[in-house]
Amino acid sequence: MSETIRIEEPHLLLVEGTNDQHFLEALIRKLSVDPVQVVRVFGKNNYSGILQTLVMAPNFKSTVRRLGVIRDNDNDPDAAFKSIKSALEKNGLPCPKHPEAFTAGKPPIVGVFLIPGRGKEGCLEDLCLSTRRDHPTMACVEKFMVCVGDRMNTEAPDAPADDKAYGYPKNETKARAHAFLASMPESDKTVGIAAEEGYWKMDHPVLKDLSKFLRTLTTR
Amino acid sequence: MMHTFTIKNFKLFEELELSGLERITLLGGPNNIGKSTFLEAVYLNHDINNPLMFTQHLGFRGIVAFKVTAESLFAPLFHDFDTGRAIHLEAEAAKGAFGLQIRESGASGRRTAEITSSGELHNTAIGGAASQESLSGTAFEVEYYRNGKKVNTADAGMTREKDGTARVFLNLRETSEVPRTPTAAYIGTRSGSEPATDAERFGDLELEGKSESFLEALRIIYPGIRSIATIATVKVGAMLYADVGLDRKIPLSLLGDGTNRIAQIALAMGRAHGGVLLVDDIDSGLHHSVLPKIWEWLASATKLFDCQVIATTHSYECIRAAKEGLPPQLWNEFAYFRLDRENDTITSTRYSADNLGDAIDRDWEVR
Repeated sequence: MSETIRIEEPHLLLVEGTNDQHFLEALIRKLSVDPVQVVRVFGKNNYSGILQTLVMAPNFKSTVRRLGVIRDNDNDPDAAFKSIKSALEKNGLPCPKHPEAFTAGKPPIVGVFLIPGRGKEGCLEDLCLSTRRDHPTMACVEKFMVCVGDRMNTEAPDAPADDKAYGYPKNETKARAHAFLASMPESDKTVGIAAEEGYWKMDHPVLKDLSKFLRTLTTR
Repeated sequence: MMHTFTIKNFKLFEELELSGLERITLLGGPNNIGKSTFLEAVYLNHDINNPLMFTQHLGFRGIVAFKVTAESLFAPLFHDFDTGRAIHLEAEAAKGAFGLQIRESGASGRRTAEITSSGELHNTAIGGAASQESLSGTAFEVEYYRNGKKVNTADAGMTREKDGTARVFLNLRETSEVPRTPTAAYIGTRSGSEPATDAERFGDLELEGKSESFLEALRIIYPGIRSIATIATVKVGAMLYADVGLDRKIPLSLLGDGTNRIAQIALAMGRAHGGVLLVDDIDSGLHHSVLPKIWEWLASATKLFDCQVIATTHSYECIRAAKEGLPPQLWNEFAYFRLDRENDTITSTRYSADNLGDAIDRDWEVR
């Protein structure tokens, strides 16, 4: 039987998946702030369920002082915020008035951050790529994406629908991130682990807002 | 079936209400949080006509020898040992509420009792010089309630006779109004088997045509059991014997701790017919691999005997097994409560089967 997860820190951070967890843990270490317990939700539709489990978990009331909730904006920032607001309220937790803010009053103080931030559409990979806009291989990545698009259009227009190897990447940003990581010395790193390896520039100004959010989250 | 149970000033509970009890209710939480105490409170509220109601809790915890004083017998029942604050217990059930209050007798109208040489109980007003020597001086009133209305009072306490023998008494003031409650059975962590009693209980199951349920339970642990029989011999009296395919039947008590644990639970289920079965550390002595089957059996047995089961556990495997073993159609008849301590207060968190399943599927702690 796997070990059970228990609440261990006064600062909790809910994130979508494993990549988010590794990326944010790397950023938290970089910031040298107090420890944060990062909890994976495993999918944007699971926030309400995991919040219920958290609220009912032993020591939630006595231990958790601040709770951060992070998810991707994807292509609809308003819907992303409404979804988190609904999940929080359903479980009797307060919700800040807008993203990148925290509630006031009694603990748990709750903050919400929607990646990439500032109400923009996008996901974690957008933020990661933004930290390496000036990297020399980024031009190769763009050429690669153009090449993939051209080749698929010109040479495989009639590819069999059931052959999953034929089809343009559904999420160009994720494809770019993987292409960029393929150019690194160790090419097998995931987006999250790449943050721990230093392949994403964790002190880049584009991470300023997220860093501020994490500092506030770890305020005693 | 109880849906709510309220406790005030009983042992470590200053005040606790568990609402949303189900046919199968499991209690969890850290050590010394009151799981066993909750069961004892429920049992006390059912075993109301038994003078030993005040001492049963000691036996449940394996305490068989103690210095018999009013202090050692009664004070441990009261929160913070403060006998000045009355114990209140109340069960709310589908058929109405029943409860009791236990309070130290007041100065005015204080009553106690003495036991005659024939063992009969007689009320006696305290203060009479003749009886003073034989009475302990500590006396309690037990008030019985039905749907919030007092229906009777009993005087309770301890007497010590001149030869040193201590007797606990419980003396109803209105003998025409004997309070009734559903039956309750208690299986403690350390409950051992009493062969003759087990044989009697098995006999009851046989008479009711429900002994197959007992066998089903035993076969979860020991599939090789072909049958069970009560055999009375001159040397050892009546005992349960199992046919496991050997040349001779062997005493059930020799089949191992797990088999005997489930035997105790299954026999007690018959005793709890129409009432409640209380099981402390239900998984004690049972291997985790059989626990889902045990829960499945419990679910069917509670239906067969129309009873409620309230059990405690420390084990995550046991909690997980409950979710795995209980048939989905009975999930709405299951609840898990975790007791916690917040400052000096004991609080509870109730999980439905769905809440519990979600938490367990995510490997989250629930104990």
